[in-house]
Amino acid sequence: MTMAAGNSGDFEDLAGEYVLGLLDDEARARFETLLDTEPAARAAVARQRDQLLEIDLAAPAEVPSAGLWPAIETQLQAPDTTVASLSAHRRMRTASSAASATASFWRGFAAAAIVAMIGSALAWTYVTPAAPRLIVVLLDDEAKPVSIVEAFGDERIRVVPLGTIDVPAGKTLEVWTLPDKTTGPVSMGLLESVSASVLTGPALPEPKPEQLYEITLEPAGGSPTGRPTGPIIGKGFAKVPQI
Amino acid sequence: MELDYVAALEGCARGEKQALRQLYDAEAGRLIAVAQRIVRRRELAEEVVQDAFIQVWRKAATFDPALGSARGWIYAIVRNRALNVVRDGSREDLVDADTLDAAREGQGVVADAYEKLGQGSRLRDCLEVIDKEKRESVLLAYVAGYTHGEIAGQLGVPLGTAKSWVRRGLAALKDCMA
Repeated sequence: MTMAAGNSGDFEDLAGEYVLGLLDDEARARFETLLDTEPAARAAVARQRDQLLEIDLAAPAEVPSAGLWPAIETQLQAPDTTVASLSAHRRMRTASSAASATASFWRGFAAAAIVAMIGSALAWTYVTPAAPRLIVVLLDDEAKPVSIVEAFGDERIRVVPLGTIDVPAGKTLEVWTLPDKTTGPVSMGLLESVSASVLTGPALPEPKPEQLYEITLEPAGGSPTGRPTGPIIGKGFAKVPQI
Repeated sequence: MELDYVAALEGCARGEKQALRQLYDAEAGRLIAVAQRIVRRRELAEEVVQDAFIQVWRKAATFDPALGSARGWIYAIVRNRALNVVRDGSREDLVDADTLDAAREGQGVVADAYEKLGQGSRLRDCLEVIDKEKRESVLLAYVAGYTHGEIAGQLGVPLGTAKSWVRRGLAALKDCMA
């Protein structure tokens, strides 16, 4: 077979899968390298992308939440407040810039105000011996932080509530994670009190970045079904702390 | 007046927040709708769009018109963010995990998106003449963010068949649109 660079037909299939989001990470990276050098590949992407765009443009627009633009604006202005990590905390203290933002969960006006609170929680973490592999900031439905979860890469997690959480009589707080879609939600245990607690969950695969954690309100003794049944107190996705 | 998307991206690249705001005013609502077709949940869709606007702001200088329109570039950023969210396994709502009928929802999303294409649309005309299973394969990927494996599962065919339906669907679309 001869090299047929320049024939856009050779790139159509790949370009299509690229535009549809069907390439895995490796194939996508390879194709993006190809895009740098092959005008025909770029043309194939351009054609397919703009062709399918019509489907998106036909979608009826939602009304964005009032807090969405302010949240974006906050992130533009204060990138240093956007990383839930010790290094970010240190950077803030030294007023250095050039932070990379990962934290989509820092939503709304609250971002600047809550940094001090998170900072103190992280300082507490800092003096403890074990370094967490992952940190999760759990937000309530108003995007206010209610708790931190630190995962240590084994069965243990540490839960650090940020402020008080009302637990009605006969109810308890239960912590959950979603290791993967097929396993479904798994209980990591009950919070005996609204204070920093180490829980030991069942043996699970090592927690991954972006893994979902959440706390729900359940009947005393825990969910009767083994799955979350009560309202969500807070939820968030695991991030890698830059320690 | 129609927004000049290229000029707005150039403004973003120069650090003009007003330019990003123009893009936001013009597109945020529709971008939320597009993201929600993939991540399903409204609050996740807004997080996706929030992240995407930060990326648009930061990467505006790298926009390359050889890869398509400025608007298409912005939608691609949102699509990729949304796909990252679902591919990381966070599509399932913990609470709804038991009850969510993901498969049915995917096809509903696709049917709805297809329905919204205007009657005079060339794209719609072309989608109509493609074999149903190939059209569904392309749309499940594009609209609902399905992987090859998820398409195969949804349509009850082997993985290789799903892959070939997507390719042949896109090829047929190209021929029809040419």
